[in-house]
Amino acid sequence: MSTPLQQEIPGTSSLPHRYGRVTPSIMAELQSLLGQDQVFTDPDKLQAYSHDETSIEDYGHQPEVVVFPRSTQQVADLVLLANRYRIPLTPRGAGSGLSGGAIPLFGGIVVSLEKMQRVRDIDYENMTITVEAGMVTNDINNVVRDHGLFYAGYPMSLETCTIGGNIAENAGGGKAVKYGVTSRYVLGLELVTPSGEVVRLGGKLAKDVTGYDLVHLIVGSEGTLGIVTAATLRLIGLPKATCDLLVLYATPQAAISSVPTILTNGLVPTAIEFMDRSSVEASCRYLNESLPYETCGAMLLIEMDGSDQAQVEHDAEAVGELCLQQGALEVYVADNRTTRERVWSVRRNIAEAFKVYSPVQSLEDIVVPPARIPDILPTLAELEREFGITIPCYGHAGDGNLHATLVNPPDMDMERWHAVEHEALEILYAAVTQLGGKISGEHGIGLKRKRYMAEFMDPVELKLIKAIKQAWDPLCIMNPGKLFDPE
Amino acid sequence: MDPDTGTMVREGVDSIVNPLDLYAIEAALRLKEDHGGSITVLSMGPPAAERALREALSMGCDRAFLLSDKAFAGSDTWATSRVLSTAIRHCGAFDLIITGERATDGDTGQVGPGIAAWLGIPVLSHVSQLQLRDTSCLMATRLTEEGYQRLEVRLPCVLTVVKEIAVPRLPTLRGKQQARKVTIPCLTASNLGLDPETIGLAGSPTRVVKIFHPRVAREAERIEAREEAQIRQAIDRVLEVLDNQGFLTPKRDACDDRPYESATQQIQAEHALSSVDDHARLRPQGKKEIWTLAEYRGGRMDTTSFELLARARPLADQAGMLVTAVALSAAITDSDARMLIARGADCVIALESPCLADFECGTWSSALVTLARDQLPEIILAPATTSGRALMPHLAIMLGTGLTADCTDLALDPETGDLLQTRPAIGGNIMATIRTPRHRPQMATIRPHSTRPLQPDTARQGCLIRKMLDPQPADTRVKILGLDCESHDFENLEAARIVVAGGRGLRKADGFRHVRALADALGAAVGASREAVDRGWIGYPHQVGLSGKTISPDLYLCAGISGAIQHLAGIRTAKTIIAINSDPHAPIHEVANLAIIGDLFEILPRLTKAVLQVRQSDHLVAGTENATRGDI
Repeated sequence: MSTPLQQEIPGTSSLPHRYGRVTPSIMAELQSLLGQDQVFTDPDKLQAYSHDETSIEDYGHQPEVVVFPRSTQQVADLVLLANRYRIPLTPRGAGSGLSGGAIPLFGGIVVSLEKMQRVRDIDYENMTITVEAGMVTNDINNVVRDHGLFYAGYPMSLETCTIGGNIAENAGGGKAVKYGVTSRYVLGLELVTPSGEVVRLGGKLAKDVTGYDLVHLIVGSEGTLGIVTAATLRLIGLPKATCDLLVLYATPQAAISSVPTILTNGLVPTAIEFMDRSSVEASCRYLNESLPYETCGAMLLIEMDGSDQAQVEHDAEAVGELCLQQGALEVYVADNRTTRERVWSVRRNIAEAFKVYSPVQSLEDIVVPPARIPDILPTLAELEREFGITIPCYGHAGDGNLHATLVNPPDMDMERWHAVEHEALEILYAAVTQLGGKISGEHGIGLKRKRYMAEFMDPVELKLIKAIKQAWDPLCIMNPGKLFDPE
Repeated sequence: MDPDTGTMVREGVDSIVNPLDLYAIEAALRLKEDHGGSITVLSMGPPAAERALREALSMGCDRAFLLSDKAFAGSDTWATSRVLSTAIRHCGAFDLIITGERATDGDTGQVGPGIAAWLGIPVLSHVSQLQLRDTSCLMATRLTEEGYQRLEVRLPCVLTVVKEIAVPRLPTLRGKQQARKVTIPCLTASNLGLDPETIGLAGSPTRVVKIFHPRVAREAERIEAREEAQIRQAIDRVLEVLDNQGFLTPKRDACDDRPYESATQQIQAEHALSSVDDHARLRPQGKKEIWTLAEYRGGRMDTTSFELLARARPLADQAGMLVTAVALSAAITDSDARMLIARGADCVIALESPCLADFECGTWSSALVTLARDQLPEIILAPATTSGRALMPHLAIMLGTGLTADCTDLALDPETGDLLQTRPAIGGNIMATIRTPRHRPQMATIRPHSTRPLQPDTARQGCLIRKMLDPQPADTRVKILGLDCESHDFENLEAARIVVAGGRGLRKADGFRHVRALADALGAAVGASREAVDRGWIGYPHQVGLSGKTISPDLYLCAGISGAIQHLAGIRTAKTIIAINSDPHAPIHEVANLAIIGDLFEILPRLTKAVLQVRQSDHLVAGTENATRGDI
């Protein structure tokens, strides 16, 4: 990869005058602000912070410098400095994003919040925790578990992701059917604005209509409206009992069709995960799993949880009965550690199984009204036929959020693949929009989907979004080039 | 763990079926599907264990009994097998008893053979395949270090099964509903007519003296190996470590490399063995004895036999005891006996009989029972091999004494003189020191390769006592049919000095090509993580970890293994660990002496090539020397 400032970035060559470079004197300022040991320019570090979980070849871009602030004050000082010299800033959590949100498209400074991971306050009476943005989300639950509490806005990437990244992307995850996504649990934020001011939004409040709801404007803004340095999060009682059902169906339609039936019967699963035939087959083969997957066209993985084991098992049985009434071939029950791990590993290993077949993929994140999922499946089948690619489809059926994944056949060259990917996505997104859906449910727009957002979003909405950005960040230094191209 | 008794606190813990017992249940279900019959499942535990029994019922078992009583609490394996065998009799007629190989918490594997001893029926341990021949006879395959042993056994008998037997089914909704309707009777000590003094903590011959956390002090070095220069540097560093420890230029160290032949030759030359007539002089009566078992493997005396002598010798010297090696085989040569003496034995008892040619638990146990009752040893040590771990629990029941499994440390209590037996438990997360205060002999199995044999001392004197077994017949209920060994699956992982292992990071079965190539270059055995074995990429005999093998190689080099806690349990006593994994957060890097963060597909082939180059150049040097000598 060439050095950042020499590289031509598509769509940015008209903006060479916009941003300043990190000169040796600015480096010296950064070092005096943060300390020498928190400022990095060595090639390994720049390389490591040039990408997230998206393809490094397609989206990677090197920063000029990576910094590790340790306090809100340091972040604010950094932002003021960036304002003075018009240096683009890219806030970053653990780099486990799936849309390129933490990639420094215009070089400049990557602001990693990894070193800010203190718990500032645990308030058991109000059931809140206030943590710094770099705290690993999983660790929040390790801290509060012993007190019988639970942070439920918990995405799938398990061990690595940070709460700051979750907030930037409004991350969802496997338990959203019952618990919702990150935004439901964010009560308050500490934010460094693009002009370098520190502001506290919201608080430990169950209700708050004092002014615009800026907390929830920030959640999901992909780091374009400021740098979140800390958050006050809502905690709930820790569910003590869990029971999973692995349900086999003859066809994907049969599987998907029983989802609304379950949801409208007053039973609230924690998760309803859908896996189509090719997902199940790839994963089961990869795992050497002996379940009778050959005879089934799709599976649902349904999780129930609650405070009482007997109640949870009773509810799970009711859900299982509904599935059988809806034509399920078989319902397996996993109510202990061993069996739960086994059924979830079928779901968790789908992506990995396909990576063995072909590492080149486009992981999609379409979302439609939950009851419309059956209507999107024919489009996927058609795309497979038309382009000769495989599109395993799995995801959070209870939320209408599917990770249809376009897999490059190993024999297709990259040039052809990029053309096919683009054409197929155009068709897919058009169909999703037709159904009242959106192109991303929980991964975000970032770099990866911005051209499609411009195409499929209502132009008025896009105009409003740009107006907000302009008002908050007139110099356009805060994570520029995400969601849409700067003008 | 209860800090006072050192026993496990089982209340309040999510009660699940021991994962290894699921294989036993599945094996039973398949027999029932093919041949009819009914399945009864028993569990001894707190009331919460009923949940585990319901799980078994929902898989298709017919009835269940819960053995629960305060009096059962704190039972060691002796007392547990006593309660279980009594309950089995209580529950009515049976044809077959199947247990998991061991529990994943206590990890002893002693209860199955113990039950067989109490019931006086044959036991086959580590069964990987079984087939009912007719209503009274079963064909089974045992997974041993040497290969798959094929046997025929008459019913009733006890089988302990390993994971290869069958993949357990998941319970279905209908099965769960069925299971809920079944009443599970609870049996107490009084139901079973058991005196509370003979069971539970009170009736257990062994006592936990203390539990402690193992100290893992490894020097840790991390190398990022993503860029070309870094990869080169990483490979050089690995070569350096390999070379420092002598893995690249195998030393002709008799002790380390080929303990068997080279040393034997020396001793034959010295005529160290005194004549059998000196028996009385060399084996003074009235001295307490430590017995170590000497096993043959593939026709040769197994290294573990010498390792046990290395354990026993210092204890015997400290307390003025004798070390007696007991060898069982069809015939034992004088030179084998000399070897045992040179390695630390004062006396060798050779138990010889055609029926001892191959291991059969009942036959070996009864041969040793007679001898032990006659001579009353103070301590009996055996290797924690597949045979040792079946034989010793059986023998312990027959002798009415306690047994500690898979010890990694032995010492004598300075006050009582009792043997302090230290072993890892709960996947090696804790260490427990165990004592047998009131029963003799004190018995322990010792983890293979956890110590080194002593250097052979050609000057040592000792005696050999040959005992032809009376025409004491083999257990006619068991017939050994043969041994199948595919060389690669049976390279004796436990005994290997170097193990190269691969896991999920290899991505597919073909990925093991890279592991095998490096193993071949280093003369190493191939290991694998559970995930790789479960995915069918390599056979179960290669599995390392809690549900596979526990190994103590000098070097464990693994690639694409993340290091789940269950896997780490199997390698905790490895001397040096080198890990290659692209994930910097992989737990394996935390325990590795040398952690290489990089792509194994990049690193392994180049490392293999580098090792071959070094070794080849060494061979050239060696070859030149030979040629020169030949010329002279």
